[in-house]
Amino acid sequence: MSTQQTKWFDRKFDFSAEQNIFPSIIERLRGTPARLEEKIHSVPEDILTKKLNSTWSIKENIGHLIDLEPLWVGRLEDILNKETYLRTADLTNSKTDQANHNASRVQDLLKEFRNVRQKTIQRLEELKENEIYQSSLHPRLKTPMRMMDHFLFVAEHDDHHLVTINTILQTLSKK
Amino acid sequence: MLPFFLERLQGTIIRLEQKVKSIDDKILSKKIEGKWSVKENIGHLAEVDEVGNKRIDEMTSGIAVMSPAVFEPKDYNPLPIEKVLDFFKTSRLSNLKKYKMLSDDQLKKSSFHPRLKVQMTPVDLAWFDAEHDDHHLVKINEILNHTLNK
Repeated sequence: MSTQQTKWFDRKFDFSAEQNIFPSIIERLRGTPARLEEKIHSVPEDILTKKLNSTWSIKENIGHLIDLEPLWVGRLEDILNKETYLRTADLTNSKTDQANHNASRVQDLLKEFRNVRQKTIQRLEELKENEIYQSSLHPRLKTPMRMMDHFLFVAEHDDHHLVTINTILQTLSKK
Repeated sequence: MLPFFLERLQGTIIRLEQKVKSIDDKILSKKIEGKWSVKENIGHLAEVDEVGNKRIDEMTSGIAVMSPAVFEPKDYNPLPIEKVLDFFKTSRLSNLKKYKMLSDDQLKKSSFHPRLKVQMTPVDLAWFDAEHDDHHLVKINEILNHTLNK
């Protein structure tokens, strides 16, 4: 099987769903903390902090998910406030690069991610059906993003980093 | 895209385990308004995986139409939840192993899905089954919320 992962910024997204798939999207987002915890429990510290070819370590990938949660929730507010464009992301990811997540205990990172994600889920569960179909333009993709599309994008982003963590674990286990 | 779909399929095991952890067995066997219980939803996912395993073989062997889906699950309610989860975990891990052994050529082969009326490759099936998992995780959530919030 080809294991080459597509780069995040090269990914294409299909936001054509007319059916309300929002409950499934919420369920995917709710599942990420458990999937992360399962994946890295019993992984030794030196593996968790290892940077392969100067890319992010496992801890940094988890920290990045924490760092981006305020952006996801901010964009939720942008859509509800009928802003033309969603707020921009820092494409250089400087927040994660500067955070030094490798110095944090992995249990603390996982706990923090679970907490921030739980708050997001609570917010999503409060949305009314018409709000799920409201949209603003994505600043990089230049396409209308409905609330439902935005959080599908977040679920895909979670998966991207879970796969990246898998790749790190597989690479280091072969060494 | 297959690594993403396999990651989702793998993640369903722990998501299910966490969801039913420390929930009373009576609640897990309860059928609300004649609908499937939590155990039946999980058993159904395992049965679908057994069909999925067969479908992967059919696609890679050049069979024109893949096997039909399963609908009504067996009665899983008398079984302890651990047994139902084990059944699901075993069938899921077997499918994941099979997907990971497919060559790039095999991943391009397709068969006709009899209900959806479309050609499907193993990659399409992995995506479809990941979406199907989420559908039943939502159903399980609804049952638990309905029962626990009474």
